[in-house]
Amino acid sequence: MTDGAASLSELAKAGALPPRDFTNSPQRVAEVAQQALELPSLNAATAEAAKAGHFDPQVLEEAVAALCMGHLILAGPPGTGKTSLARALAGAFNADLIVETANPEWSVYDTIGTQTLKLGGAAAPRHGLVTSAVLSCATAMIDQFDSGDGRQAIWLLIDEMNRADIDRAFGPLFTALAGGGEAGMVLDYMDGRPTLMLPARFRIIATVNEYDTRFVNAMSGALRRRFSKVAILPPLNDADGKSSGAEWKTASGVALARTAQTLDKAVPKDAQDLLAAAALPIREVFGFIRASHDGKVPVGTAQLIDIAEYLLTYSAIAGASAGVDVWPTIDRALVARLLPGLETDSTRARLSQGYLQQFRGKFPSLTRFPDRIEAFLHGLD
Amino acid sequence: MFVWPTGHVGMMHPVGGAKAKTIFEDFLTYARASRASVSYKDAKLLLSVGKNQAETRKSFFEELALLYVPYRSNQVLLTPLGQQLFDLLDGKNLSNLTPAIARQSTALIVWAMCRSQINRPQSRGVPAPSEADWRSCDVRPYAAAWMAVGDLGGTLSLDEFLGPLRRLHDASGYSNVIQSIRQARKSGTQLATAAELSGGSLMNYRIYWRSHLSCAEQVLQWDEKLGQFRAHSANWPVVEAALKFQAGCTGNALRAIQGLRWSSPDDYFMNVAGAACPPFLASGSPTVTIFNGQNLADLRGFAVVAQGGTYRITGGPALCQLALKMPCFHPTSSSRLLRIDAKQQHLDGSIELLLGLGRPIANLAVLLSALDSKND
Repeated sequence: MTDGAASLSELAKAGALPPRDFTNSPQRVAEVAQQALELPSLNAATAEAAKAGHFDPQVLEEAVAALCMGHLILAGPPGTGKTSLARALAGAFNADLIVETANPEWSVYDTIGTQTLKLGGAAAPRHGLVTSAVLSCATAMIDQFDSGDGRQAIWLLIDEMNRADIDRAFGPLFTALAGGGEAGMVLDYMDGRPTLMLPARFRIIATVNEYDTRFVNAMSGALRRRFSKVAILPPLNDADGKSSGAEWKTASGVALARTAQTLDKAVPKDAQDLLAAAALPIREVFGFIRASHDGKVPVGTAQLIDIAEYLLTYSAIAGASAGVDVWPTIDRALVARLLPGLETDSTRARLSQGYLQQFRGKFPSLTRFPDRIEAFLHGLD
Repeated sequence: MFVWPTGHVGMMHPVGGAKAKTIFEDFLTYARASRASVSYKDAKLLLSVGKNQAETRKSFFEELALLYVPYRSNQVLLTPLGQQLFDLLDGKNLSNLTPAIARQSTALIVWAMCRSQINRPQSRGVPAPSEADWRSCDVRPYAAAWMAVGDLGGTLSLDEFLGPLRRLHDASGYSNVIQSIRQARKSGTQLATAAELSGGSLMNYRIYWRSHLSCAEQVLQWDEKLGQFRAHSANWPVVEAALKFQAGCTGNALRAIQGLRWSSPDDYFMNVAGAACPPFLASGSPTVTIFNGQNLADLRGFAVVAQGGTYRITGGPALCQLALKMPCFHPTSSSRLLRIDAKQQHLDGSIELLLGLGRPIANLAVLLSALDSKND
């Protein structure tokens, strides 16, 4: 090597050091693949993850422990904060997250890679989303090694993974995921069929919605074995049967912030007072709907925020105040913001006529919401 | 008139000629006696010379702060620096030293000389200065003389040394001395008196200074024809590194040649002049090689202390130029480059680097080959 040519990139080119950019040499990810993930303490990581919402501390510990060992599936109904939790978990491990939402059209060409035509007709490789994430992870690792700060890795979040035809889309990943750093993924679409090793710091977090079965594709046993699975359910009700008071505090805070953004000004005091007056009724309704662990409807915190936001916005633009009866507004909010998410086969399977009768008996002021649910259950909507 | 005193004995050096080697062996003899708890009185009898010369040599070793005999004691004590030198060479055949050991020996002796002060306890050399003079003089004579060689283009004549330089009493007057020498070079003016340059009673004084300043011809070489010292190309970088170290990151020349205060003879010998030589200097290769674009520093010449996932390197101002976050190579970490995460200057002027683990090394052989080709 001649004088002046021995910068780091030259040393990388000579093979002494791994390069920073692995796009054209994915096989060289192997040079950093063995560098272990720096593990946070369990306490610190769960505390960080807890900032994403109200989660059972034991569930958070399970998720953190799972990520220490490998890849993770967060399974649960919509609105329970799976995506937010995934982001928070990545942050707790000092990793960035690339988020991709699965769709039924995905194939290995989308996830792993394929050849594409360049101007002039020559074929060129195009990395798929999983391959790109792995290469980005390797680059992030190099950047952190070089600078001593920044993210230690880049992870991939596949949101609603079971919307994809999983085995068709992720088949070649199986070997690499099972390898524990010793096996790789052959990139057939590149000259020389290079093998891409998955860095020990790389993780895939997948969220799956096991409630909305319209979009659910089964995951094969082969893929399931390569992930730890943690169930993310709505927060447990308080002892009085209402939904969690702590959850409401957070949810109403988020709703206030969002409404202020929507209104482009501070939320009027009357609207805030109305929300305060509606707090107990709403928690009572959610507590009832959610009594989910015995087969009822597991709606998440996101829906609670939606209801609170609806009340605030409606009150602000309608000039309603705490002095008025809050039930009609709650009824309207439930129809507008909660009902659409419940109109699924899963709801139809879980709810019986008896459940609706109980609902009507407990909440006589709510009429439109149970009527609409009933119409849906009987195919009249 | 005040002039720098020095011991009336030739320079010691393990590869510096027969005389220098003999004197060096006398140092080793004293050091062995110290380790064996032999009294000073008995140790003198072990030397190759008579009692008086043995005492003169002991005084010279005190001038270099390698060992000392505390006042009214009968005990030879090795300073940390003396122990370093002794441990490097004890049991080795001085006639067959490897180049690396020879280089390290020179580095330790240069360090000792750079640290030596006029203002020191006991053994003040010849001509004996008045108490007022040695107490008030703040000069490190060898450091000042060698810095002058550097400032004057790599040469120093005996006239220039015997004239203004050896009369330097306050380090702050160094610049004026250099200026006067430069002017004299232009005008051809002789700076020393005829008596100082002639034979007679000052002959020995000149001989010993010539021997000492040249470090037995290991750092300066005497050109008899021109009557001047010239820097020894192979070993001069060690002198420069030691002076830079004493000057600190800011390159304060005054600091390099100015003596330090001491509270007691023990303090002087153990902590000030006799303090251990930093590993990077003792290695004899106190340089940093930086690849083009300042992307990789080769720190193989430095000793590293590894603790957990962090590494520490202490060295001189050569380390000042290294930027934070700079990737470095040290063989202690053969699977990962190192990265400079923090840098601090200590009170003694040394620079400490705190290094974290950097980019993995994919192929050590290729990296070493690249580093070696850069150093060729």
